[in-house]
Amino acid sequence: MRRALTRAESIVETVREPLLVLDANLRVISANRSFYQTFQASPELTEKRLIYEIGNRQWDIPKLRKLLEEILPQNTQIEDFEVDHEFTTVGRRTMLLNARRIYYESNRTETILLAIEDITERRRAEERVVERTAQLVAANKELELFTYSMAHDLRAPLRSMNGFSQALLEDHADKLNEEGKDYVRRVRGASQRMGQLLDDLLALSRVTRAEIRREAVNLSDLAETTAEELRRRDPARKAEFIIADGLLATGDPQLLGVVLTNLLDNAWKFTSKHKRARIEFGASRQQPGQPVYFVRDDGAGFDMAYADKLFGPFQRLHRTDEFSGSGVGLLSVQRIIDRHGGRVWAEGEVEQGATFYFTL
Amino acid sequence: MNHSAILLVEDDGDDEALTLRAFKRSTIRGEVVVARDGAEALNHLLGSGRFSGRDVTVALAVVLLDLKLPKVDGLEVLRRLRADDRTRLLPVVIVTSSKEESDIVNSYKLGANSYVRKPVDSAKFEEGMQDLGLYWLGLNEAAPGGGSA
Repeated sequence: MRRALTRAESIVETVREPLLVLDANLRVISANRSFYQTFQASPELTEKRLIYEIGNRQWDIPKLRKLLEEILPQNTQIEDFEVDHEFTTVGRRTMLLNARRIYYESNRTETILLAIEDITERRRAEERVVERTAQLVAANKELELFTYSMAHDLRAPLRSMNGFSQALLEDHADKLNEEGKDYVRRVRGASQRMGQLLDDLLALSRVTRAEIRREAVNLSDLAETTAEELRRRDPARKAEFIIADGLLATGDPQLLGVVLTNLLDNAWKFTSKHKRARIEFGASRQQPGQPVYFVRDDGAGFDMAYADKLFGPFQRLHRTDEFSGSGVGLLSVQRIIDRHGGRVWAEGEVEQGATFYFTL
Repeated sequence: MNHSAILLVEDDGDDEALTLRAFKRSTIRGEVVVARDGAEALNHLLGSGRFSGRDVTVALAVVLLDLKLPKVDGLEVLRRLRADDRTRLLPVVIVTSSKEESDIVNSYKLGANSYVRKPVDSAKFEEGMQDLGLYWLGLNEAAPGGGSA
């Protein structure tokens, strides 16, 4: 019995958290060194005193009273009881308490073990994280709005550049020699590319800002519509579209439409130099319930060495005069797939075509 | 009454020049009056300007109205036009850079007859302006009485 008590006492002493042992009348039987150190108390002023009296009555807290007098009697132990209080010795602290009633058969007495953990710093850190996150979200939102309004406002001067360079070519052709006309055409070309870039930026911004809906979407239908549009745009091209039937998914119809449009558009573009083209859209079931959709073409392809650059903003793997495009399309695709919780990746070989895979 | 005049409400000098050039290069024949801000537009229509008199022999076929205007913005101009008996039935086409859904919805709510977004590409812009002019001056029938209810 003596040995058990000594062992118990050693354990109590070694524990880093402040511990109080109270009797059934809430008088302090003993406290550990951590308690005395943390709350700048001494055994003389603590032992045998009512808990509410010690340390200048700093433990006379309504919530603690409730714990010790109402809740604990109903339960044998209470964990994670949070108390926020201005302590006279340590200031404003948030304490997490564990309390346990221990009944000794031998002498029919009951003691209460109270373990105190100071979580003030932890709570403050948590609050800072919440605050910081809110700040980041707000800053991000502001940046998006700014990008959007910038791209929008840049359209007007671009229209002027475009319009007047064209007007120059049309109305004053007689005053320009071939070189002059070439210069003007380059100005026009550049302003058109810039216009496309702005449109892409605006579209990208819309993708990021949009509320995402979750509906049943027929991907096959979307692909068919895009294929129709492409065929209409350039009826002279000999291109074959193989679109799997009845591919359904759950997601935002508009955004998924953008994904398919971007991928099929790309396939169309990069097969334009070939006499015949074969563009396929389908799904493979590697795992049940998790289809992997793909858009495959047999066009210009790309070097796998640059595969990780594909989805980066404004990254292009081909020169502008080889293939047009601002490099934002795939970024939009990635953002949309991301927001749907899926993955997108690509495989390709130079002049052997490319396949873009995605999951939702 | 001969509905062949156009009131172009546009604050951007370049857009104005390009629009006028587009009309000139088309078969559109008619007077084009330009107002450079909302107040000027309202003056032309409801005040003492070009189209405000009762017995005009050359009536307005359409008002091409930009949204972002100094002094009084496009939507406010539209609201006042629709609130006044003299101009309630006047064809008004919003011609703007904005693609904001709220702008489109509000324009129609306030009684615009059409909403056109200015393209950046010069060829499309010219074609668009010409199509606009030809439609509202040629095919469309304006209300007799020059827009008054």
